[in-house]
Amino acid sequence: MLEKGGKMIRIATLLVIVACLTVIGCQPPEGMAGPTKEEFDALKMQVETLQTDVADMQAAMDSFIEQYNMHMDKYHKGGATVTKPTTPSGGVKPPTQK
Amino acid sequence: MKKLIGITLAVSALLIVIGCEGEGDGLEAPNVTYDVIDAGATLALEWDAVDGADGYYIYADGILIDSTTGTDYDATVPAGFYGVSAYAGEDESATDEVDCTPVETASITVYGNSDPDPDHPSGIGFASDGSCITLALSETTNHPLIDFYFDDANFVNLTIVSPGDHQPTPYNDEENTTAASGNDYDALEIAAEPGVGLYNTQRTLNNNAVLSFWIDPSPPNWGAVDDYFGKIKVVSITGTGPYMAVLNVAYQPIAGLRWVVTQ
Repeated sequence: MLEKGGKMIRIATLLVIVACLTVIGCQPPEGMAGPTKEEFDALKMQVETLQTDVADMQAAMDSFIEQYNMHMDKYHKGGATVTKPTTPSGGVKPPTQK
Repeated sequence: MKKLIGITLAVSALLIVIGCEGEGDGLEAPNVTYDVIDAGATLALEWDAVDGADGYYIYADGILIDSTTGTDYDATVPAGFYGVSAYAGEDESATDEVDCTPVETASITVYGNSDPDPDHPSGIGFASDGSCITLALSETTNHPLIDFYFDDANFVNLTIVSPGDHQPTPYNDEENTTAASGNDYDALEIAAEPGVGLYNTQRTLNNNAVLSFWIDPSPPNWGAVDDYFGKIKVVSITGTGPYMAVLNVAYQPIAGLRWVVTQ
């Protein structure tokens, strides 16, 4: 009976050791652990900031392109020109397009 | 002795006659004339039939592009030269060519009309050989010759203006115009189409811009008699007013034709 109990203790001890080794073996190596919640939150905030920046840049580009197109339409495509308020060396009549 | 001389002369005469036989009997080159049609886009070639010809070869810039058995051909692809030769079997006549190359004037310098120096030219015109000449506005005898002038007195930027737009007195009655035509001078082989709103009597000049121009002494429509076309490259504009500009200009001397092939 005593011998039988000693075997069970050995088996139990072995099981505990196996369990410990399993737990230890499943731990990720140092430096390979995933981000902490704080790190994840900080990263998420950075991504959101970048998304906002891109949206702002897109809006600025759209505005710039619109202004550029208006400028081109007004001053270059139709041949219209920017006149000065005074005409010191003779004037010009309105342009003719044909 | 006299007999020997006579025989020698007779043989010589025979050789001369035989030697010259080919020239008299060969195909004559067509005598090509042309009309400009299709608002300056097409050169309509025409020639009289050549005796003995089976047909005619059409050359563009020395390259055979087509043949015809008729005596006319509408050239629609801009080129520097168009040529026509007659052929009969393997024989081919010499080629009669029409020269369509524009007259180029490089690196002309003009000044905005706000420039205080009266000798600085603010106008340009074209000589009878098609070359571009600069003209000082201060010289009234130049006014009839002005095809365009450069105005930075009435405009914030240097602007090319038709002489007919000047007030109170126009420099002359011409209604000459320019059209924006990109930035590649050599790539522009035909000036912009007239009559569709592309041309304007006043246009701001920009660095590196290429313009088509249309000289129209009898406005407003395109004409094959006294209208002339060409292109201008704005090489550079310097200054902040008065401005100075350097231009390259190509002028098509065939009235009404818009071809401006410079390569």
